[in-house]
Amino acid sequence: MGIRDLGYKPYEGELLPHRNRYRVLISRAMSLAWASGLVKTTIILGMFPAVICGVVMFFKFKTIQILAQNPNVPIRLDDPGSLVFTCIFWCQIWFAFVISLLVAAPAISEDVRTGAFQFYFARPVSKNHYLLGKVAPTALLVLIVSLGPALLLAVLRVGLSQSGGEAWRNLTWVLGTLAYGPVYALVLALPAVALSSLGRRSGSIQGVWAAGFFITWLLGEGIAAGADLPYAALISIPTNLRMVGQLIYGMTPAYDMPWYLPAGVLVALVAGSALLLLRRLERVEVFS
Amino acid sequence: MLFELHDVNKIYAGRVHALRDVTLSVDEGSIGLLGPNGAGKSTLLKIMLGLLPATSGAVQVLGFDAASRSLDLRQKVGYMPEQECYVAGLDAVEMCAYAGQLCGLPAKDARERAHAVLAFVGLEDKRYMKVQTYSTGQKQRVKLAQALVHDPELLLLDEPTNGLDPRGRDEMLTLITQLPERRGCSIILSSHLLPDVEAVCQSAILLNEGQVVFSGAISEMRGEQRDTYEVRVKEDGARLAGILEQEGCRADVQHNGALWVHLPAGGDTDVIFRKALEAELQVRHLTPLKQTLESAFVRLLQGQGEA
Amino acid sequence: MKPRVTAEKVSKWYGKVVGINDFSVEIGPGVTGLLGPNGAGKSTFIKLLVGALRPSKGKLEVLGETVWGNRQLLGRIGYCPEHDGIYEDLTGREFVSAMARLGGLGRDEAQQRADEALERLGLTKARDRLLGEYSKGMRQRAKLAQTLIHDPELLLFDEPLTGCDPLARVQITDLIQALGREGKMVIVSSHILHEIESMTSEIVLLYKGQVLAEGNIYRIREMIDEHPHQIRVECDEPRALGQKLVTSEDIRAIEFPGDGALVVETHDPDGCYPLIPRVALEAGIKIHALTSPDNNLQAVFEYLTQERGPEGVARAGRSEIHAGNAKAPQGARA
Repeated sequence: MGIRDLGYKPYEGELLPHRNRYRVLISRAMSLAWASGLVKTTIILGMFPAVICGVVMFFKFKTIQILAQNPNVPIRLDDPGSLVFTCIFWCQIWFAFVISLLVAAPAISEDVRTGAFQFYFARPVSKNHYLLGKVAPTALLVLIVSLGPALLLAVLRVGLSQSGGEAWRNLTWVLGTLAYGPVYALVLALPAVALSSLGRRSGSIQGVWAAGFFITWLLGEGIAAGADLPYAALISIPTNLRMVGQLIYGMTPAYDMPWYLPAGVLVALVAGSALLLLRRLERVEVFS
Repeated sequence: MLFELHDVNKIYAGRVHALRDVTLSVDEGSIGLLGPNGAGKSTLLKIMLGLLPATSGAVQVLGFDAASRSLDLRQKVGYMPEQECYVAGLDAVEMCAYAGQLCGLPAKDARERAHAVLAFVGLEDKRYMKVQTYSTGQKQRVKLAQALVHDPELLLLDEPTNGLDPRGRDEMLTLITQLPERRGCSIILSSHLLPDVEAVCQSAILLNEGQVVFSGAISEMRGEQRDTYEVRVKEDGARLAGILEQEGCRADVQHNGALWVHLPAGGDTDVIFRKALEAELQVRHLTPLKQTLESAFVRLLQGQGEA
Repeated sequence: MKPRVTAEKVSKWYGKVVGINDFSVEIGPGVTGLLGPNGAGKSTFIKLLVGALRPSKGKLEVLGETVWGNRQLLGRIGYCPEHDGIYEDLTGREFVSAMARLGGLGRDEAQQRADEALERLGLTKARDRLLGEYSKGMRQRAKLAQTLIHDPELLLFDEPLTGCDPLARVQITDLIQALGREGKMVIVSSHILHEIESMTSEIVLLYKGQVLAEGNIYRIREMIDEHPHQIRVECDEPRALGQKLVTSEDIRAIEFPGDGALVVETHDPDGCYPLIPRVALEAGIKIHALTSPDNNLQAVFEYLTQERGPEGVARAGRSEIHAGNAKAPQGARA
């Protein structure tokens, strides 16, 4: 009845508690990431290697069964379960790295460039929630691309067991994947986000991350092989990741050295990145 | 009480004394925050939002202690920054809805408010386009919208008319002056454009070198001079000045052509009009002489400098 | 010969896009404000004046000569652009004297003139600090200082007060006015109308690539017939005064806004301004204040740039309003 006022109105609805704010940040970052055609393509394409590895695993299994019936044939094949590792490291690392490059590397530098700190911190968003909102999306996407396919393969391996005892033993592939996945995700997410906090040019940061990742890989393994210095491989992030994976799955590590060295490098990398992020954020200027 | 600061000091890195013994007690309303560059205005705002701890002293805003209840406080405050501020990849509706959600609004309410607030600032037609494609004026409006989406009790505006052409500036000031009436919120306006501050605010805080030089009503800051009037005539002001001097007034001609006429004791404006009519001069402007905020600003700072 | 800028039917196109179109204006010594909405052609005009662009058509002369390609003439023009330079690693003094040397002065003379200019802009104390450490207002003043070095006859300032705090504003405004009084031609382009008003009463208003109005603000105001002149009177008995005034033919309407005032609308300010005090004095009503709320640049700008209603003439493409010239605009009332 009468004429309504269509203008600015007060808000009288409910307010959600501050402690859950990180969910808003993460869900927004995920939807932004998914909106990118490149990210979508990478994740979808990343599912294919698992399919191929699955098929190979099946045939390997069958071959081993046949060979078992002919003990004279001097061919030895390693356990098809090792394909789980082959997949999660050798196949998926490329997709995981692309995700890290597209989502993690620009995460904070874009905010610096567009002045978004003022947007976030003038609101009830704590710096820890902000950081979680930057790291978690990449970590989750990397998990999807690495843990997902690998887990399926591990389950397949369990399924292909011929006896209950074998199935029980093959459970290590599943458990190993569940343990390895988070390590993988952290190593690919945290350092990239930490780098992102150092500047405002996303392109340069992506370049530095790519260089840091691949050049250390080439140099590390190159020197280790060429100069016969296995410890040189420790400078390469992917190599450390590989060795830790092999350790978790109970396989022989690529280079002969105590387990705590590659593990230590990764822990230092992740912890160092976290510290750098916390330090950088403390010095954030919201209002100039 | 809108906010209260008690003996607040802020020292950066042990050397830069950004705020010195700041004590302020300010009621709800529209307040201008003034001061030369480097006076400590942004430090003050950061401390009031709980983003920066004060080195010493107590800060209470909207009833919350800024140091310990910073999150609750920021939920009730809206900030419109001076510089570029947007989230890459979002359009206006998404950005405002995100802003609302970050303040605790549930997703649906946030989206509803986003649309309403974008209509209020006049961006309905462009709301589905990415904010990075907007012109300066449109970006300014989005900044205001995102500050309003959670219906704040206190609005902090930093140079809101930056980069706007005259029409845009007018529209922005109209929007801003409407808010206290509609919502009953308080506004703190930080700006170098003193006429903007005069249009929006009733009181002001003047900072210089970290200290409060003035805090109170703008009319008090300006001061009116009793019995002195600013007079402009269409033709020859000097002639009128001469005539008035003969009547016992003191009349000084300023270099923009206006006269400052000081009436004798017990005199009133009748004498000015009568003499002008007799001399066939048209009085086109007559008001009690008021300082502009600008001259009050300069006077107060120079006074402090000499003190 | 007095310094002048003359534009005669100047047009500038960027491919298909028009910057300015059939633009004619004459600017003389003193301070002139250049204003207009975004996209009106201000930056195009300024670039033409400093020789950064060449007119597609028409004649543009500054100080009697064409600007384009005229290096000698450019030495007599000083330009202070809006955007910040990038010389963060130079001190104020180094920056200004470097610009002076670029303009062709010898080392010692450049230094000396630089110091004088810095003094004039109040930067002597800060001259040995890096530009990167200067506040926005100080940087603005440094830019202005280097504009003054070679004592140009035409000075162009684009948004000279951006980012300046009120103290710097007053200083720079005073400087600009002083330059105008010295007989130089100073053209100031700005969006902030009250800044222009504080510097000068002469304006050139651009709209959609053409000159919509030029001359004295108050004369222009008088010519805007569609918006009758408003006179606001604060007095003890507004309604009584209104009653006495309403019988006058000069008055078109009387409004009572409710705060002890009345607002009179008239098409004949020359008749009304003497009338009101006369009537008040006769009736014994004391006037506290008499003002003309829309006799200012903001109102002039608004009235001229608003789109016209269905019964009126379209604004754009209208014949120019030359203040002080009896040429009346179309649709003028008798």
